[in-house]
Amino acid sequence: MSFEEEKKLDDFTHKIVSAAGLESPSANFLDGVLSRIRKEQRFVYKPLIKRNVLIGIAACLIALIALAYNFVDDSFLRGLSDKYDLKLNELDLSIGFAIPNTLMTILIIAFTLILIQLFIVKRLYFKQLK
Amino acid sequence: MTDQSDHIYIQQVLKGNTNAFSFLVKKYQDMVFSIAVKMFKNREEAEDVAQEVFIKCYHSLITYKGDAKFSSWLYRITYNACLDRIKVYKREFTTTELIEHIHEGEVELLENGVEALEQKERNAIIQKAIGQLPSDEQILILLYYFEALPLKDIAEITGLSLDNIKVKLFRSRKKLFKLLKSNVEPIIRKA
Repeated sequence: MSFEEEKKLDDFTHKIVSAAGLESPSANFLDGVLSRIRKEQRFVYKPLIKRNVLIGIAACLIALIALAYNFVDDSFLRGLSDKYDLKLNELDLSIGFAIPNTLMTILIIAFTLILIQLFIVKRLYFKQLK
Repeated sequence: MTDQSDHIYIQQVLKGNTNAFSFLVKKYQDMVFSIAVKMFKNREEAEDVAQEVFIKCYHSLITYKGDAKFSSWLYRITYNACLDRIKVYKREFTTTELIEHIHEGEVELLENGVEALEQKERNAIIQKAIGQLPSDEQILILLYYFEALPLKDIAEITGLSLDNIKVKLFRSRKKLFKLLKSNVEPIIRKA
């Protein structure tokens, strides 16, 4: 088959395929798609607190803990107390009982497990609902 | 890369306007449905897959970066969705056929024969001939000749290499010609 003949066949194919057109779905195709999307949207989980706000709260908490453990010492508090006459020296801020390290570790692990379970249960619940 | 109107509607959908998505569905439903019909040869199943494709497209729209044309991106989703369903039901997708040689002047003769037919009859015969091609070749013909997509885009949609697409197009052109000829000749002879 010559190049010229090949070109003719190419043009002919283009012509007939364009003439044949496309197949069309049923008339209610669009409604079907939109109703399925709307049905799915009803089950989309929308958290009460936005992700950015949660990140902000977490950042503030971490910052406060870090400040409490690393940067605030007695001299800093004493300085504040002297400067503004807060009489912090008279306050007894001790908790009164000591929490053992083992108990603290168990509490942290338990809290972490609860958080993980909450996340998994939430996902399963919305998957089933969907 | 994407059609300007497509881009506007995509942005509206991303802002939460579900109705804006109907524009995209209306614009591309025939092409998506045609690809599915050619894969399954069953209108009900093709329609079901086409609906799933648009729902998947709606949910994945946030991941569409706009590097490729929206149509190519959507056709890739369609092609993959069809292949996935074919895999589930383990059906055959492609077949190979013998290609005969086309003689000089044959193309013009058939072209005249096809033009002599009435439009309705002509379209039915062309559709029938296209429908007799293997599914993968029908889709390549559709994307290349109807949608006029560049070979590079077709390669991205189908996952085939450029050389493979060229060879398949070359073969399917000839096959289509022979199929059309075998459908048209009896009608012309009768007339």
